Amino acid sequence: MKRTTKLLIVIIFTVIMASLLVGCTWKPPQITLPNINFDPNGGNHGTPNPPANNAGGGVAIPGWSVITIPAGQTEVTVDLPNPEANKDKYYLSFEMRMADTGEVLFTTGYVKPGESINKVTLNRPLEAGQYNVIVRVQPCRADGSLTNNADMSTILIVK
Amino acid sequence: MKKIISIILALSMISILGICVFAADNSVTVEYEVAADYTVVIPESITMTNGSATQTISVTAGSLIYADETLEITISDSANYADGFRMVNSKKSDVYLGYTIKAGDTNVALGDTVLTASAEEVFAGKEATIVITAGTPTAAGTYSDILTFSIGTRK
Repeated sequence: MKRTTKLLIVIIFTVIMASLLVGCTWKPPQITLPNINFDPNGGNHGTPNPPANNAGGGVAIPGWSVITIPAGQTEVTVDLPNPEANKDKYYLSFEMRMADTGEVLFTTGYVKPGESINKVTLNRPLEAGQYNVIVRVQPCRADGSLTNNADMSTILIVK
Repeated sequence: MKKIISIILALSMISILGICVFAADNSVTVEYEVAADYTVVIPESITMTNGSATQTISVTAGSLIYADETLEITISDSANYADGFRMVNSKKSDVYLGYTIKAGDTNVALGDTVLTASAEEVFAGKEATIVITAGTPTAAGTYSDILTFSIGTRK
């Protein structure tokens, strides 16, 4: 075999091996997400609200006429969902306050679409009774920027 | 004698047919508690093309409120409101651009209702449209505002 041909074979083999080495070891650059405070109690729990159709744009916001929690406790079970319709668009956070005094009862971190927050820690235990409360639902985009928000008027039953 | 006895027996049988039988009251109460929950879709932001935008507020079909209640959605707050709706310039926080909101031919003020729906309308789903129109800007840049929609039910 001529010397030139041998050299050509070696070069081609070297290029192929180098390509394989790079292809097997190269990793895509890591995407750094903005610092969004996700709630540790967010996950796949609870029954989803009616599926929303926001294909035309807009944020799907869940609403309740009544929320029930036990009296005398600070760690309580709730169901605060982020509708699946917000997938790839918006995270939601929740803050409940007394309608008359504005006293904040709890604040959550953000929850992902299709998931819900199933536990919250109240700022103080509540006595049994019925309270008019407002749940501020604050969406944010994937980049952490805030959108329009909603104040949901709800009855809090403590028993 | 036999005839008399036969007649008596026949009359007795006939009279038995007329006796009413009173059954015990075995009625059962059936109850089914349906929770009221609903989903509302609000505009993400004040976004305009050529100084105007049409946006939709809606309650999703299949939502449930109590039969004797009405769902109401109002625009209750605006982050930059001062004697009217305003957007703030992203480059300079003291530069504003006023805007108006209309529902049909009616100007919408802070606290005004933009959608009401009965229980039947909530279940069927209902939409309302608002038109947002910007005033005359005095500087270039991106302007934005954050609106709060208050949502609740009343009897």
